[in-house]
Amino acid sequence: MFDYQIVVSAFPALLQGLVTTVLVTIAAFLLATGLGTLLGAATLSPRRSMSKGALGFLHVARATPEMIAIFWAYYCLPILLGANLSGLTCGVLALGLIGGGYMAEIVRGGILAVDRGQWEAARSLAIPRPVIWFRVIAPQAMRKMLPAVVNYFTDLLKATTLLAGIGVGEVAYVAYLSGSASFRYLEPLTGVAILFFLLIFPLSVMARRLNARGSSH
Amino acid sequence: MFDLLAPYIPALTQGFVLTLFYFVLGAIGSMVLGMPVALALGSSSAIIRLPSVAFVEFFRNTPLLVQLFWLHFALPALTGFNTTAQQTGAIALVIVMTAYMAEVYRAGFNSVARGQHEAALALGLNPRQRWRLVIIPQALAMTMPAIGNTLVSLLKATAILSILAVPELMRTTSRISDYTADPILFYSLAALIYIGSGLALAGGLHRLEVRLNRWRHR
Repeated sequence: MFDYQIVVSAFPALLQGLVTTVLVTIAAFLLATGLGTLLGAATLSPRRSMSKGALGFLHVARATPEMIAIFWAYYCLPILLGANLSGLTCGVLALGLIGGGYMAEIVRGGILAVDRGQWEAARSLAIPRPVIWFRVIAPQAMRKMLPAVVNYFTDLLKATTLLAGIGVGEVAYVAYLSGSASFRYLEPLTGVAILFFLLIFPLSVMARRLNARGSSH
Repeated sequence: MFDLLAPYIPALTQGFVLTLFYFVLGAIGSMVLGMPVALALGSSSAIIRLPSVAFVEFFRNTPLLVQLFWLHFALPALTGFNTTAQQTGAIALVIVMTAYMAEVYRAGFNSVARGQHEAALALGLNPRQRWRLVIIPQALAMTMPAIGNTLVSLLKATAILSILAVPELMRTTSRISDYTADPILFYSLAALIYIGSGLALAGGLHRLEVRLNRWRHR
């Protein structure tokens, strides 16, 4: 029933699809991390217009389906910007912007989880503010953020498959195409499901372990 | 702009109603089915626990889009039984959200302090009463935020069914946009509808959570 030969012959194409998946994941992750760090810090700004704006973006980004963001970017951005943008670029932008909202919440939570006393102790030692941020608050906040960041990364990995909707050759779309060419969907689609499980499951376990360790002390 | 929009309002409304239908189906299905699965996850018998762990982990750790493709295109090769896109979409949505909800419930059960189990036992409650009167109500109150997050992801996930051409809001929007060659108007409108309903849902759930907590602490 299950013909391994089909997976073997589709392997080069699937591998190329996997490279695209990894590329999209990393690019969107970097964009989300950069944007999320800025926005997350901005939500804690004493300037109300800044914190309100950042919180507003965070809520809107979290309520936006990835699918509509991807399609909106793919069909509207080239018209609005008057530029030729590839599906891959639009997909990365859409996933990165939404991810920025998720990362902002994670960064905000991480900073808030650092004990206030740390800040006060550093202030009383007359350490300059930027040094407090980078050497005292950030390292502790990052340790607290890590499980949530790993969880977000797995969500992002799953969301990259949605780029299939705009014809980007990530691995799920390649598997689907290879199935529709041969009318044998079972083998490539099962292969790609197992592949995603093997990529994502260890990360989920890692996030859970980190979480357990974080809450045990 | 309204002139451009007016002829398509019935179709968009129909699409949105189907989106809401999938949301309600997924919400009720997963909240109900998630409970027995969550109880199975905590079972002391490996024959019950292991299959439920495998089920939950597999569906939580693979993309919904791949599950949809697999159920729609690959499974019929094994069973010889075809489902329509709408049926596949409903089945996949309920299954995957059940896996997420079961994990949310399980985490909730674990968050109820051990002492509560022991106190209920000491009061002579039988296992049924222990779960129904002591553990589940407390676990539910504690997991309200996580249930809310899962429901918001469910609303967002319904848009993924468009990949199988299920005519919900996302797919309807694509078709109208292709037909009218006006993507900016229609995709922006759909985005606003999704964001508006997502924010309303998140806000409503948050208010419910606040009220539940107030009631609990009274």
